Amino acid sequence: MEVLKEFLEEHDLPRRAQACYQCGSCAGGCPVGRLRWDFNPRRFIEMILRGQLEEIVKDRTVWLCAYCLTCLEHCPQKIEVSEIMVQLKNAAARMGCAPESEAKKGGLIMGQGWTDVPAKRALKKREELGLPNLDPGIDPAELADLSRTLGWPAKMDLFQNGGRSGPETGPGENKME
Amino acid sequence: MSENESYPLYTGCLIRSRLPHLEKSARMVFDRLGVKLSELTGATCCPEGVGFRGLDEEVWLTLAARNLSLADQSSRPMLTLCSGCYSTFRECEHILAENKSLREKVARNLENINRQYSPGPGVEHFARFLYEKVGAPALTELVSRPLRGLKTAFHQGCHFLRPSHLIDFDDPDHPTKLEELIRALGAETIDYPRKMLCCGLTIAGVDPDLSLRMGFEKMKLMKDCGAQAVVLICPACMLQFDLNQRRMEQVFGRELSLPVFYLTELIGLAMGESADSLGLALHRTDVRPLLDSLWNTESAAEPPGGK
Repeated sequence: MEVLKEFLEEHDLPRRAQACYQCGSCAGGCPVGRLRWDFNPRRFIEMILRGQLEEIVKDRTVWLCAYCLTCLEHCPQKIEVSEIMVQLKNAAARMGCAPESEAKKGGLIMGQGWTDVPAKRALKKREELGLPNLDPGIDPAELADLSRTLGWPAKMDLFQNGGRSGPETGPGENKME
Repeated sequence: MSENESYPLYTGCLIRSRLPHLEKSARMVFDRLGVKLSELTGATCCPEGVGFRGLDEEVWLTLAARNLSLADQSSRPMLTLCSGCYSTFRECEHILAENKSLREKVARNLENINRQYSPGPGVEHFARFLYEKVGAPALTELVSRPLRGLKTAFHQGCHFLRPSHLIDFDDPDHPTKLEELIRALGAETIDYPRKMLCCGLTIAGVDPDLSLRMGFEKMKLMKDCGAQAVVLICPACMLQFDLNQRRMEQVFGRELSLPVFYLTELIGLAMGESADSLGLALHRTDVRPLLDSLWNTESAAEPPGGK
């Protein structure tokens, strides 16, 4: 939990949440909370204020935040609730609690540049519609450099296994070749 | 808009890989308006600002800043066709302007791959461009086949207006501006409850059932209020409402049959483009019965099929 505590302090979360008086406007407008009683942005702010770090990471519902920004617009105290939710996801990911779907998406973006590559059928449709040829996007060599610069392989291991694959891929190492 | 300068087009992952017809309609409409688009090379995913940003914000920011650095400093703003990409780029610009420590980290990351970000011409959403640079009266002038009698439910989506303190375009809870563009085509825009609800697509990977239900709840409200079609401005919302509509009907046992149009598709139709030339056959929810009934009730002076 030391890593997590440092993370929250580094991102100044306790101070950023401080003005919350738990009115619940964020929860009232939340489109996910409408359908899922166990997802409540107000409660995440409360957990930060109470220092309930373990609960935050263990609570997988943090990943249900659709980042629609309704809470951000409605907070009477101008707390950036949605931004805090992003930081909580970052904290959870760092502790090895990222959903498989999102870790996979990360692997695709850092491995091929895009979340999805066009199927043959889509390319054929482009041609039929008279659209210009697709630019392939980032050069694979540059993407590989970028991935190394960002310490991505170690991060992926962290997101998927909490860094348990091996000591050489510990948290926070931005390894350069 | 007499200048020759062009706008670099950023289409994003979903249009590239799955929705080429949205790009087709956008290029068609911009061409008819005399707006030149240029091709952006060497880009990546914007990157996606919900799950991917949730993994690691610094990585997300670095990729976004790199994409912004690809456009020529002296060019027009990059034009995006996706509200998610728009949001990522606008937030990236804001964070890099306000947060010194992240700005320095991102600068170092980019330096390692011989790139550099500095605030440039930025980014523009196609729908905002249409409202601000073209305007409803100019659109009406180009309409050759008004969509009279068509009752549309407009879905604004989350990332076009919010955060309102950054984007500052329209009221984030009760927006009205883009509906003017739809009415400029002769169509009607209906009111329905909870109009600003999220489509739910961003959490499709994390909880597919919940995501589908969010989409269904919103479509049900539109349908109950008399909508004949949905109009939207984001390819992610398009996937949810068009591609997933059949599954919503199966899972929740209720017929929707609501054709979904991307804003430039609707504009293209009103300008007289045919459904075929716009690639509307690629829609999963058939648009033809609606278009047939719309054109057939019109006077004989406006034959179906377009030019």
